[in-house]
Amino acid sequence: MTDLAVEQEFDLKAYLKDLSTIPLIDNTYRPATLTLVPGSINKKEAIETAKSIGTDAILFERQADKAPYEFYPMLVDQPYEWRFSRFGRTAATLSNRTFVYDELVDPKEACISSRLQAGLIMHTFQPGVKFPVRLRSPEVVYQTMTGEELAATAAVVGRFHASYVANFLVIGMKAFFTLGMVDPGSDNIDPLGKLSPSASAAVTVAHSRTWATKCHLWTAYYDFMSVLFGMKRSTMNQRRMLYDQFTTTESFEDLKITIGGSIVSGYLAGTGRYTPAVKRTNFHSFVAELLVIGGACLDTDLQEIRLTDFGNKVAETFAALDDQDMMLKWYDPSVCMPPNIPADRATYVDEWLLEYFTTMKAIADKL
Amino acid sequence: MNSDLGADMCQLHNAAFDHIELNALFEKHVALPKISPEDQRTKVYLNPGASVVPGNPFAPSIHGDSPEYSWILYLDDLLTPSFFTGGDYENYPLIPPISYKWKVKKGFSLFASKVRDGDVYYDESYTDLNELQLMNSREKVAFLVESLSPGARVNVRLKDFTVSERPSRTPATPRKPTSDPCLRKQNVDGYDFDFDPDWVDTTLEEPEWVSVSTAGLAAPIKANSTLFQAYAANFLAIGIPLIKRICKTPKAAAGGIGLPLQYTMRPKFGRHYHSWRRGDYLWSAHFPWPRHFLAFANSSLAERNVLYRELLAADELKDVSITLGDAIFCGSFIGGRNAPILRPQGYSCEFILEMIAAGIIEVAEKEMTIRFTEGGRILHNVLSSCGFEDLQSQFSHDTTGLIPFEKTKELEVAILSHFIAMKSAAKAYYADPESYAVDKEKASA
Repeated sequence: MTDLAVEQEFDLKAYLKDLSTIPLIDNTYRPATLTLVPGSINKKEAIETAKSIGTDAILFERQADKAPYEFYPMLVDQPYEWRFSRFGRTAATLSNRTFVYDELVDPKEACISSRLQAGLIMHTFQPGVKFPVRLRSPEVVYQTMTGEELAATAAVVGRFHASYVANFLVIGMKAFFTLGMVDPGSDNIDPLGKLSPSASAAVTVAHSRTWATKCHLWTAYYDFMSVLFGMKRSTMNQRRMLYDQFTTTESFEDLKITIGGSIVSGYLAGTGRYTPAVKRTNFHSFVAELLVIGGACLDTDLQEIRLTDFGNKVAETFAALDDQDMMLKWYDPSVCMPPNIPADRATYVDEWLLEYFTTMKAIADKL
Repeated sequence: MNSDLGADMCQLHNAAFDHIELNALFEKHVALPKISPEDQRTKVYLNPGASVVPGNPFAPSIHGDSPEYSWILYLDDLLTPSFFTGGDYENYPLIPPISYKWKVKKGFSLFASKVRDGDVYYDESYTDLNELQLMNSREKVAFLVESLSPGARVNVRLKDFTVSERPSRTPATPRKPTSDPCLRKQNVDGYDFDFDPDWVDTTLEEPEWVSVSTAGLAAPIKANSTLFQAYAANFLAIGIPLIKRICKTPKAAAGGIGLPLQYTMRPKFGRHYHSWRRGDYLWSAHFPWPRHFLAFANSSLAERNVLYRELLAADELKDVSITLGDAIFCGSFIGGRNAPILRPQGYSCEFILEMIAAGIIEVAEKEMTIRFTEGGRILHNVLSSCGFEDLQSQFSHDTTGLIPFEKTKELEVAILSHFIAMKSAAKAYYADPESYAVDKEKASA
């Protein structure tokens, strides 16, 4: 069910249409071929001279969280906006260019969002034109695709991501504030100075604090709730290990955490019923986020990172939303890398999203 | 358990060897191969002594170099623990003496002559190895020198672990030849060879060399070595035959259980697999093996799915993150509220690969997971009464893994008791294997 039919003064259709476009300001002819790749390479290079560029360097995720509360939960395809520093100049230099999209340049970069970004760029500037693309999959595939076709290969994941974040920012964060979330700007997570003195630890926490203060984007990522519920289910050994990792590890970038059975060595493994387990690189960031918003603390007596009263309250309040196999049950086991949700499972994903956030909203409204 | 009782038990068990000349067996066990007259005539012209450093060489390896030109001897390439395998099944369990054997296949006599004929320099100044690994290295140096030049002293530069509150968690990484202190020393001493000055980090303060006795050098690790070699000797005699019998490894070797192609294609993964099949049970005989075996038995499906992915994806053994059974977390060991967290020792994957080779666990390609074989489940049934957990908890002393010397006798008794229990369990299984059969439905659930 959705609230899309509800007649309000707010023009939802116009809002959603606005989210699905990026503004064009120039049509200057550029004959050169530009290779679009995952990630943000050549972010600082002049786009006029770059032969290849990361799609993250051009477009930035936009959050669909500005509609009135009554409209949520809603489903929305992933919207983007120009990266502020490139606005205008980027659009001008991309006009009338030939594109190539290549996922094999850097195998480490996530390539789901880049398909959406590259597809949107190609469709915006050359609608209906087929361009060469090389996709990362169990077998490397060379083919030609239009921007729309390219974006369609990642549309379900993109829709899941955008819808989850938007609904969580509106419904989930309202509940978090009601339950007594602490001010993320306060420097209270490590009063005894036990956190690893490494630079990467400081960067991780600073990032979490910045995002939490700015827009709570990381709290609204679905892995955050996986970490929260994982902490709730965690064993003493897991919490002790987490404390040890956070207080001694020199390189947070390489941190592989294990919490609550469903997160193992930095993988999202769920209950184990669905394979393959999916590798993630940033679960530690969500632990840092929990620390920043007061959901978890460094307990120096027990030598554990554990949930605080607030963290426990959130986990207990939303216990009905603990779905360890979220995402994993929709992935296609035959497509191990990248983890992708096939188009034929879109209906299940949409139904899951609406049920999840309808439940969350019902709980939040009773607080 | 008091140490007198421990000593009595050791004597009791070792006494069983009297009729087969225990001392002769042990003496033969601890001796390094003699230097041949031909080797003694070899001129060692690059280095009158030997400069030895911990760990493995980054490059070049002594395996690839002519011994005459190897002026740096990497201990892990020179010596490897030699587990006692003498005597009959009836004589076990026992506590044998510590011993090492040459690891190098060729030219060890030349290395030996270098050590015997000149001063030995042992340098830990620039290593990344952890405390336990370095203590093992020190004992190797001590054993090497004591075997070849009894009573000689060693010039050392030792890493001081008391100065850092937080020992590095970084697992063993290869040394860069660029910062090799031995190269620097050789140059200072006027030996003629070319080296790139950029290799040397001149900003580091060079520690002083001191002369120490071999006994003093080996003392901190004495307990570990004695106990671990005793454990290995007994496991080789009692545990390995039991594994082979229950898991039917020889039969499996002809077909059936095997490593998937993706593993065998990577030489470092295939090596452990094949070495077990050839009869080299190096890792299975190590003390952490039961920890991995039990952790696997207690592991969740999710953990085993991740293990499958890690084994499939990692290029190097040390890159495989192993998390199993709420006891092993990315290679670190932890066992309860008060038990210290033992830092990653740089190995874990080796145990898993040997368990696959032994037919204890298997790769389920279709299910994308690793699971017990039927034999593995039976083995777990049989070994569950041997008190692995108790033994491990007694060995858990601090975060370094080092065991205080005064606990030696107490732990020798624990090892003997453990293997008496294992022998009893094995006897019971051999007498009535059917009673250990696993309920397949229950197991699969």
